[in-house]
Amino acid sequence: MTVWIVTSDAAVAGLLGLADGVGGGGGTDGVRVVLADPAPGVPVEALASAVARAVAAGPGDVVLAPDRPAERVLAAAVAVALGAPVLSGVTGFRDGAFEVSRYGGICVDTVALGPTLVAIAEGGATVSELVPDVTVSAPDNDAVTVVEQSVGERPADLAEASRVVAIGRDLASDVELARGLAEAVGAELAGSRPVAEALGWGHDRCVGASGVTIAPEVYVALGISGQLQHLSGCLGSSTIVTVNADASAPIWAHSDYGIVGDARVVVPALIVALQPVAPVGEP
Amino acid sequence: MSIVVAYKFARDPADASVAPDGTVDWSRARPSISPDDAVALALARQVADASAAVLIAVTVGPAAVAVPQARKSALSRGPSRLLAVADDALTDADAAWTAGLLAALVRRVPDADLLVAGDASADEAAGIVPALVAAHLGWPCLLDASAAERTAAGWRVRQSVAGGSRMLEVTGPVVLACTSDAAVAPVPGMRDVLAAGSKPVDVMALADLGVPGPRPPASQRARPAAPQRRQRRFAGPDAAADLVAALRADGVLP
Repeated sequence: MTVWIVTSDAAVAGLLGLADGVGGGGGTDGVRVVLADPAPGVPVEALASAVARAVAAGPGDVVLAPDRPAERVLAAAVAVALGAPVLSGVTGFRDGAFEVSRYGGICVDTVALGPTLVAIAEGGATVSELVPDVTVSAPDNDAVTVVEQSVGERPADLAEASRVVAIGRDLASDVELARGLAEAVGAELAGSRPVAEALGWGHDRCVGASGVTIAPEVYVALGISGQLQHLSGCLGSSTIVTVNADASAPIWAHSDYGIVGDARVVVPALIVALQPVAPVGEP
Repeated sequence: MSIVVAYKFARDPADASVAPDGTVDWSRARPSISPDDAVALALARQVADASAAVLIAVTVGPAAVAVPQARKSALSRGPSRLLAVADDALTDADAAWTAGLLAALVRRVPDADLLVAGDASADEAAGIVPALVAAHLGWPCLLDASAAERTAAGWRVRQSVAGGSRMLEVTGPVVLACTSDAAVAPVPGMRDVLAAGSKPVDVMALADLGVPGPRPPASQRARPAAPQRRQRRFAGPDAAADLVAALRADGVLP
């Protein structure tokens, strides 16, 4: 059996881990990486049909792709070409089966290997060296071209972050406050979908069903009520710290530490408390 | 020319409950047009108006998606016609089957050169069906589209990408899944709902479309283990300092 990884960049540490599990711990033996690497002006999505041809998967093979918009397009092209079902929301591989989070995480399906499968999972951190077995650069046609690229903020890499400070809708106008806390604890800044939309952030900073699923060591949820669609993106965090004025918000059921209160009041106090302790002066 | 917009009548998992054996009880979750698909309907209407195109809606699902209330819910949002496959065999149809059927419906609109869909459905939230439909049709697919306008050769599309946005030009037809804020989805007024009642609806029989049924892999379902969290809350004037001290004492923060 071959495990195929279809990606457009090296942020696939999570997929390599999955591939190792699927392959029975053989590391990268039996793993074939298909890299979509288009020329400037060609979007990754334009390579979909060429990538689908490059994935010469046989019966029982598994094709893994990171859960990012462009790669979902590639994965879909592969799935249709192979006539294979697509598993979205794959969170792990254990005892010979994929674990698939369904319906915002309210239940978990385990899907055994056997038929040819296309599985979409969080790509994970960037690996230092990714040697593709096949590189696809030329689209089948020039139907889609990039004519203008606006560079905004630096893309967030929440998958790499060991700490994340996330804000809810009500804090959209107080983002600098949250940024201050993020800097004080060395965290990446993120948000729920409404706040990401309000601030014009992309999926890369939006945690939850429509953005990224992350599992940092520390997740600080400021003013986040804990809708299912958001929780599904952060429940894997080792520690969840909550600041929320609503003591009955669903997020509290998933919190390790917290303060019931307005984040606008609590966060400045937290930033003060996080200051390095001043050295004790000479007597 | 015609523009096609796809939507799903979906249930919100926040209203579902899960038994210890993993069985999902959807009885309290009333299906409705997925919020993202309402945005897709609004965007598609705008694009159709701007390009003088006919807007046709497509949907696939159990019989409930074609009852009058469900039809009106979609048609009151702007499409002039609805093509549906409504069969209880499709109650838990997977993405592959759903996409194959949607593609078959799009093919029934021979002059279509744009399919608009939402970001993701309320229930599955996978964001994969539009791309699968595109692969069936042999059309390119762009997710996270925030705007589209017709050009002489095809489409000019703005797409959100990590850290910013970009503009793309497409020659020929395309499938777009729009961002959840690509358009404001207005609540249909009484006049829209009344007008929707007289719009044509074609409900196709599942068997007539010739799209093979699912071959879903064998799976088992379970309820995830309840999270074990420390549940420590801090209050009082020193709450912030106490919280930071506890995080440091427990090794959560250095």
